[in-house]
Formats: sequence, structure tokens, C-alpha cells
Amino acid sequence: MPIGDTDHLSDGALLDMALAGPESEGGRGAASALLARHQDRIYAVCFYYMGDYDRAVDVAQDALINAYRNLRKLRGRTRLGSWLFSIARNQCLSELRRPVRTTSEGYDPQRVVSPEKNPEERLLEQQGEDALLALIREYLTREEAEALLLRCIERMPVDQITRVLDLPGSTGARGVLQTARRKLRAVLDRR
Amino acid sequence: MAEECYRPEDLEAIADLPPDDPRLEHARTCPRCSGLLALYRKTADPSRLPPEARLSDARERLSRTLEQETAARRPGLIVRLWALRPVWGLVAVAALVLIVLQVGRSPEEPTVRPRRGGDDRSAAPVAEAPQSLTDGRVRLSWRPVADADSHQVVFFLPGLDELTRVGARDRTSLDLDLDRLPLSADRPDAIFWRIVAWRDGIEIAHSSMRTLPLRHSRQSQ
Repeated sequence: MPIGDTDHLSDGALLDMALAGPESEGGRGAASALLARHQDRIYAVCFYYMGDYDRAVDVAQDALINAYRNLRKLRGRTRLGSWLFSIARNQCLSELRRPVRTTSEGYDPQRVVSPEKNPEERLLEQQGEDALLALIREYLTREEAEALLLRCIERMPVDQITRVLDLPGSTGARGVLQTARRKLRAVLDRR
Repeated sequence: MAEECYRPEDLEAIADLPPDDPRLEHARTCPRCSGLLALYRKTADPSRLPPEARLSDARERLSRTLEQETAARRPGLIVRLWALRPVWGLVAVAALVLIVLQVGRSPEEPTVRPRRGGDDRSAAPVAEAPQSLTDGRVRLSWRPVADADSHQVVFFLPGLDELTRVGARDRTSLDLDLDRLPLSADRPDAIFWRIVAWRDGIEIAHSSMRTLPLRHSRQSQ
């Protein structure tokens, strides 16, 4: 069944159509319409994580394809928005966690590891995420903690952290991260 | 990550909660979840992305990707065969007729042409199965004719038109680069070959026809 105007259909209705006949023309059309509705948001997630247009589009394409191929797994209580967010986020994290390429072609200053690790990276490596979280909660302000976790756990570029957290000032997340690291270093040195 | 931390799959439900809902209490004490929730809320309105995000360009590329991915795909082999089931009966009948026609016919015997002067002592050469070599070439081997002074490999197209002839320097084999055969771009999956024995400028015998698959050379391209 060819699918016509889908604007009047809810996400749920489109999803039902897509799941009812995944191989039919109607089912594919419904899945396409449903994902097209959410593609801007998928791209937004990817842009915040990747920090530039080209990489964000590449990852968003993979995320969209992944979502389409796995749509039938979306059953139960998980909502579509969260599910797509998860897919896009996971796609970004796998891309960001890939080993740093050292050729000039793949050079990315944001991914080059500095010789001296930041305190949160050292703590994360040595004691794990829970220990880092406990320390952060105890010694950092909420703003510092959020910025630091978005940077070290979510691997988000600094400029994007400024945007996501609406951080004021000329230095934005950069300044907040510097303060947070200074505090963490002091705590770790005392121990 | 604590047990009470939000799962990314639940963020939509959490983000929709009224501000005084007790389930939001966790976000007030867990910087990780509050950061993730902030990100989730931020992405709810992609029009607020900065200009360098080039949302309209991205939208165009993603729409194309989605279009390609959701376009009709060719059904799998089994599905296509199943769709052809009305033809199966005809195919079975045709196969039966062919079998009946073949019964009683002797397999192709190597042809042995009499030598000039009526001496029929020459045996026919016997072509063996081709062997793939590690360098990508194919070795064609045969049992030679004892009194032949040379052997030649003759290649045929699937319609049995002669394609080319290659003289064999070795008495029992020829290592062949399949890509050197004078085939058109639309090359068949297989051609045929036979070995021909010569003496004194006369073809004295030839082997039966053998198949030569060409897929080796395709893979190497």
C-alpha cells in the first residue's frame, strides 16, 4: 500500500504501520515518514557530540540507518524519542571512543591525548566512574560537575558543552572546566 | 553509574515530568543525569542549533540517506524462487525430456583423427580439471599424445564459437592468465577448452571439451 500524506498520523500510528508490514511498501513508507520526522533531532544529538557538520552528518546517517533496521525492536514501554536519542548517542560515543588516528589526514586536535592526563581522566582510569562521581559530587558545584561529566564521560566538545548547559561568560565551559580540574587536582594531591 | 540513574531510553518520560515530580529529585543530586537531561532537552528544538551546524544541508543529506535505505529492495533468492513456483512444473517436464533424450547416448568420446597415411595409432589427449595457482593464473593440464610433436589449447565461447588458440610450450600443461583471453567486457562465467595434438603440421587428435570457470580472474580484478 503506497503511503500518502502522513502529517495527520501520530508517531504511534506510523510505528504501528511500520511494524505491521516492515517489508511492504506501506510499512517502509511509514518507517521513512516516522524517522524523517525525527531526523533533525538525531542530527542535533550528533552535532552536540561531534562538534562539526561533516562528522555529525556521517554519524547521524549511521544512526538513522541503524534506527530503521532495528525499528522492530522498539516495543514495550520505551518511547520513540528516547530510543532514537539512545541510538544517536551510542553511535556518537562509539565514534568518539575509536582510537585516535595519527595521520595528518585524520588529525583532530580535540581527540589528541595530551601527555599529562587531566585529573578526572586519571581518577576514571584508576578508580572508575563511581569514585569520580563521588568526588565530583562532594567537591564541585553542580555546573562544574555537569560540565566535567559531559566532557569526560560523554566526550562532548567543550564548545558544545557551553551550548548544552547555557554557560555564560566569554570562556563558557572552558573556564568552568579549568576551575573544576583545579579543584579536583587539589583534592587528589591532598589524598 | 548509580542504580537510580536515568537510563537514556527513559529520558523522554523524565523530560516530560512536571518540575515538582519526585522522580526529578535524582537529577538535582546527580550531575551526570542532570547533564544528560540538559542535553536531551536541548536537542528537542534543533532549530536552536548554531549556524555552523548547517541544519538544512544536514536535513537534505539525511533525507537522501533515509530514502535510499527505505527504498524497495530486491527480494532474496528464496523469495524469488518461491514466486516462480507456477513455472516449476514446466521446468520439471523439460528436465525429464532432456534426461530421456540423453539416455542411451554414449558420453562424448575423444575424437581421434587418422594420421596421414591411414595410420591410426595415436591416442587422444585427455584434458584434466583446471587448477588455480597461487599467483592468480590457472594451470590447464592434460595427458599428451605420445607421438604428437606439439599440443595446442583451443578455447570456445559458451555458444561453442572458437575464441582463441594458445600453443603450449610444455608438453603436458599450460599456465594461463585468464585476463589475457580476448573476451569482451561482458564476459561469461565460464568458457570451454580442449587440447589438440599436432604432428607434422596436422591436427592428429583432440580431447573432449572441458569447462573453464572464469570467476578467478573476476575476483582478481
